[in-house]
Amino acid sequence: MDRFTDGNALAGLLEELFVAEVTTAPRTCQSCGEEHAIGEHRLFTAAGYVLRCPACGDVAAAIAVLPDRYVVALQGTWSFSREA
Amino acid sequence: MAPISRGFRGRRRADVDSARLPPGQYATRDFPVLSAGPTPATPLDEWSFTISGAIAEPVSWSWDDLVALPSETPTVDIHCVTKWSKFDTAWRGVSVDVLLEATEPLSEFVSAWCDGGYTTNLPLADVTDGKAWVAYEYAGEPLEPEHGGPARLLVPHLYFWKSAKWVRGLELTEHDEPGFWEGYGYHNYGDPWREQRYWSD
Amino acid sequence: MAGAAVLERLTWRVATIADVRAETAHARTLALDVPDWPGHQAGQHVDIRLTADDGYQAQRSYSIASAPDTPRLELTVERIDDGEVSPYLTDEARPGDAFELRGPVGGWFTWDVTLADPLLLVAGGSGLVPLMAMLRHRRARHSAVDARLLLSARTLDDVLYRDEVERLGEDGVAGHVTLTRAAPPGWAGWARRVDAEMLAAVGPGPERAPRVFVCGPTPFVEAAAGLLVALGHAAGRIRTERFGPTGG
Repeated sequence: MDRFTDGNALAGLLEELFVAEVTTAPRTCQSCGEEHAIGEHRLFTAAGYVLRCPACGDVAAAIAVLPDRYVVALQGTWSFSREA
Repeated sequence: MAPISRGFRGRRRADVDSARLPPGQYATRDFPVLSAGPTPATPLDEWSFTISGAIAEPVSWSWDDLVALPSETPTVDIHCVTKWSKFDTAWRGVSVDVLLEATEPLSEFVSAWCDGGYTTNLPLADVTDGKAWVAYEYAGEPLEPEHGGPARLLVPHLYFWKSAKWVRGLELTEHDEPGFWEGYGYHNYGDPWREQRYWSD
Repeated sequence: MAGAAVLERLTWRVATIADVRAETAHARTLALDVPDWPGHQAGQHVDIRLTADDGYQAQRSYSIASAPDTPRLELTVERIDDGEVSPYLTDEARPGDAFELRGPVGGWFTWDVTLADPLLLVAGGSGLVPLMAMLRHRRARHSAVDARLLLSARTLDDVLYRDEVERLGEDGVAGHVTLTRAAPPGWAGWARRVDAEMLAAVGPGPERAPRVFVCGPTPFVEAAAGLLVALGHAAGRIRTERFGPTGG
């Protein structure tokens, strides 16, 4: 059985970074073009975190948590609401 | 300093030979499963292992070919960048030296590539001279898919993200080509004894 | 959403255990004091971080069990036997102990009473926690939204908030429990894994376009979500929360 959870599980880390509600933020995939909320994406946990498009499986984000920084690679187009 | 949670110890083994633990690591009895993506499921009759790229002659083995090659049973300590180490893990696999006897490398760098798209890069010198295997058994049983089965690369002297799960081939490259985690902020070489976890180390 | 807190920079705060109470033989609810707690939405979770005296840290996420309408934050933790964090929280931690907490987070998996559509909640084991927060919120606000719960548990003794689950009818919620490992003598409910027939019996059907929340271990969620889609529910109306392997 594949071991993954949801993008929702990464909410704490992402919200610390972006100061925005992230799990409802839509992302348009760079590979398949579909739009899904971050909370719908599949989260894999390895050396770092890997968030994958729920439709095509391609990488939406790779995040390394270092002692003094986050190293974040985002792919696709992410849209964060500015409303409080 | 974060507040201490009274009485919390975690699951670390206390009874370890600390000389075997690289800096910043703790020893564990279990074998955590960590994956950057879903578990592939290539049937063995479709599986192959290929050495390609900057070599004299590309060469490929079917599953039956691979398991017919002379194998070794290394018992090694393994170290994950997420800080767990596991001592005395027992494997069966084919030494990469044996595989490279079938051809002649013409460059100094290797990219391991895998089902599911994962890649990692290593100097050729770090997968030769008895340092690396294509492993297909763990603890006396066929390697389970969640741990990289049917076969994974095993390079215990480096952090375990270099021991690529579901490996399907090695490509000899002219230049060092950062793989999946190396391209996302992890160290290009990954020596646990020098605590080379991230690119800034 | 009504009641949403102003989003400020998310940081780690210190939570102190104010009270503990057993839910089952393997699960416990921790009531926490968190200074300047901004409030939350039903369904959200928190990340917690424990630090040992040598600096070793472990981090986990737990769904918030309490309704947003009650003043004190509560988490329910189920003990995973070889887990690293849950046995500490269920067996060792006591009032006065502290850990770091980040949240509330996770606006994706939330519900509140302003959403008038029928509500279908499908829980596997401790996946009930965030869904019970939703039902507690519904009760606190005296909402009459059509709400149904299907809970899958191994045995009756594993059912979290058992009294509350049994009394859901008093709030007009249709509660259903299926037991997958062992049922007590005289058990009149289901005694098998969740399947299409069960989900169809719980309803509502897809023609009523319910909002569906599924929570539990990943294999349970995958199976239930698949069954719901096969029954005709739109994938976009189903929100899932999977408990993964790091939830120990």
